[in-house]
Amino acid sequence: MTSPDEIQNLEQQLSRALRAHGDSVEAAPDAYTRLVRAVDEAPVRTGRIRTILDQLGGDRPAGATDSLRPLAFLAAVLAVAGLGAYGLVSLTSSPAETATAAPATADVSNLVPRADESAADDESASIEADGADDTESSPSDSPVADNAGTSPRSSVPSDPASNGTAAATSSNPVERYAGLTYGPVRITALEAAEAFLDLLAIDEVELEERNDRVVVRLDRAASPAEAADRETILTTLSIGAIGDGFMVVDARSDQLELSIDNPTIADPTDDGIVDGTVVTGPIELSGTTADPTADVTIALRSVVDGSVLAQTSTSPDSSADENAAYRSTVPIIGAERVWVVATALSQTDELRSVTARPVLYSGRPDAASYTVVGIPPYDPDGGLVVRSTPNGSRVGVLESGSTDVRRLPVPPRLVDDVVWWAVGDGSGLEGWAAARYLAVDEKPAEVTMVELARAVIAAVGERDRSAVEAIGLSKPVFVGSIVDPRPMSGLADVDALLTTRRRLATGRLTDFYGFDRWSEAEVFVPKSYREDGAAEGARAYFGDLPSVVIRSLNPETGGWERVHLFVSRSGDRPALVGMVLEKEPISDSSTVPDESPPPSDTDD
Amino acid sequence: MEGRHGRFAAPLSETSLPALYDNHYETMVKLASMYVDQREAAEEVVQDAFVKLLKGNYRIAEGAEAAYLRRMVVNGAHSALRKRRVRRRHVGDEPGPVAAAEEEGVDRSERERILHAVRQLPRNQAAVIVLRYYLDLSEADIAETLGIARGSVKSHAHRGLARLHKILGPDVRGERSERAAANKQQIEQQEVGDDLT
Repeated sequence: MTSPDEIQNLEQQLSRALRAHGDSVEAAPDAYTRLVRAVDEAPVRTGRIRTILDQLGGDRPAGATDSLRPLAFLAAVLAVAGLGAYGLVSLTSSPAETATAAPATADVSNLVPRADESAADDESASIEADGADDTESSPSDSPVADNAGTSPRSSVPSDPASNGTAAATSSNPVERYAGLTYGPVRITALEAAEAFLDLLAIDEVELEERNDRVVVRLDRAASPAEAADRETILTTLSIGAIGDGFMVVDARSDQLELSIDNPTIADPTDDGIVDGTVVTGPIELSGTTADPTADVTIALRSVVDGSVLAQTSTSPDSSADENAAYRSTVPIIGAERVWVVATALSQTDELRSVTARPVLYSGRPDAASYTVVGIPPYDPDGGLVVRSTPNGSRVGVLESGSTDVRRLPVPPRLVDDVVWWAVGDGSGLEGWAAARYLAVDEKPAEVTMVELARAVIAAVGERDRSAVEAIGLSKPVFVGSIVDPRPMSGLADVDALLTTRRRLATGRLTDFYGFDRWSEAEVFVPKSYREDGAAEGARAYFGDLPSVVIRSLNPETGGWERVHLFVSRSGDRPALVGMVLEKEPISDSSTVPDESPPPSDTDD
Repeated sequence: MEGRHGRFAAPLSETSLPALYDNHYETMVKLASMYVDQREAAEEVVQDAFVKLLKGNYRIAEGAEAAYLRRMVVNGAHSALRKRRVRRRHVGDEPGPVAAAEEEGVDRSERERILHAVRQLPRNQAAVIVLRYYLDLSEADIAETLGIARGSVKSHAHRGLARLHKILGPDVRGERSERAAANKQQIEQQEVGDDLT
């Protein structure tokens, strides 16, 4: 065993050696020039899979729909063939598909599920392991890809027609709606292999079409011996068309086993995030790996295009000889169905990596309507922005707390790491909105701060105390404070605003406090602030916006606390744009400072 | 309200390059050099990371660029290291970096020995050791950089140190340097004696 002294000495030596080495290294004098050039010349990266899928437009033949369910496999096996120098992988159509697909052509009916199928899929949605290996076939089943030629991954065939197994094109218009392509599409084995390898995050590969297969060189730098090693590691890799996208569904190894057991979703309400069809919150995962030294990476991938929605790494129990257990939690926001993919990367031999069979995690079934939730109080939109396309131009706003939002029968999209739903409301507003802010309206929606503040504003604007009380402010209310609790007097609130400029600018609300009961609400206009000295501070941050102050007596300290709600009235309704918690000096005699007299008609 | 990384997170653009360069480039080159012993290779890794960051359409919260860059550099450097290992197995060792004339031979040798040992560590162990003992990052920052749990940071650090101790042996405690210094002193005394005679 290593003694603490030895470890300390080692740490000192390490630190000294690494720093000395770092000090000896300097950037080249022309580094900036070269960097600028490199940035200029680099293309903007786009999602590889999305690029491929975008190229897969095709037509929808009459009647070609239900017999090819979205969960059917399109192409099956990557089998390592022993061709000496490299691990070779052949890509075939599954037997189930060969009757309808052209040779070496993957025919994916309903790559994007039809509207009327979505609900059915969701009804059966549950945590389930996919029977991926049922469709594995041997290399001898391989259809023929009859064109030769090497295609590095960086160059997807831009013109499918140039390939003998090219995607079919048709004069029939492709059915499109909201940027989505419907109908069967055909892809070449090469295109499919590229997409699948992207999913596996295998970078160092080179694809080559030969007479009867697509060859995947897993590591261009690998020697024959290493490639042979790899053959014994990664023996089978199954791929398939799952739902509305492609997915690698199984990769097996003779030497490393990795499994995922029972992914469970933790109570997302712990985070104050509303449960619902949107999978929001931490998903807890556990499993085993045969290699205790392996680093296990768990990714949640979109069923739409396989892109990584969330990812985490963990280390298994290193004390185990085999079948070491691992456990991890992956946070996920806004995905209704995700693939859980675990990959073990051995630390002792980088060639040994294996991906467990992914499992499908599904949220709850679709609901008739949804509620807009989770809009932060400082959000200037005051609601969920609806756009013409995912991340497109703005067409309207669904107000926070709106309960009549319904999904349009269009599959979700993943754009810029955001899951988008096509939604509409009773007013005729339709478009795309971020799904994470839509929750199932199964129970009375929790009153959000924005809703609360808006209600307060509306009520106090009318000087209607009964309305304010009816809102429920007699219950404990939690508000964010951006002012350090400390004694104040006179112009102290101005100072507080000025000294907290930076914190205000970040928009973060910190230090939550509970108010035991509501005492009084008043409307202040800028003139009032000018009179009591707070105008400068208020203008510095919120311009001339009117504000609402909720004042409350802290029964424990005897001090007065005020919550300033800064309101924008630019729209149809007031919108909350800022919030400040202010504390009055704590009086030993529990008397109230002159500048903030208690209301005479409080209910205590 | 939309976006995983916050409302105000927008993709970095090329206009961010000068500030990114000033704030992070040199540090990242030094960080990469912990993995790859050629400065040119380290710079290549860092340049790749910058290009990816600026052209990758990432939405990065303000102030989080350093963590992203660190992660990209660590991954890129590790990948470069792996490629080099494979190449060396089949092509033979490449020439190492040319030693600076003014560098102290003994110190440099010891430093290279330690660096070599660090580079032999598994990926995450090496990354944790470098981030902790070179950049002095906290466990939380290391966890964020590597995308692993804080508990994993601890276990990787523990395993890494144990492995380094095993690789380096007792010499890491300084005996080698002391021996070298004693030898050097002996030689100098001998030379002085020779001069006198």
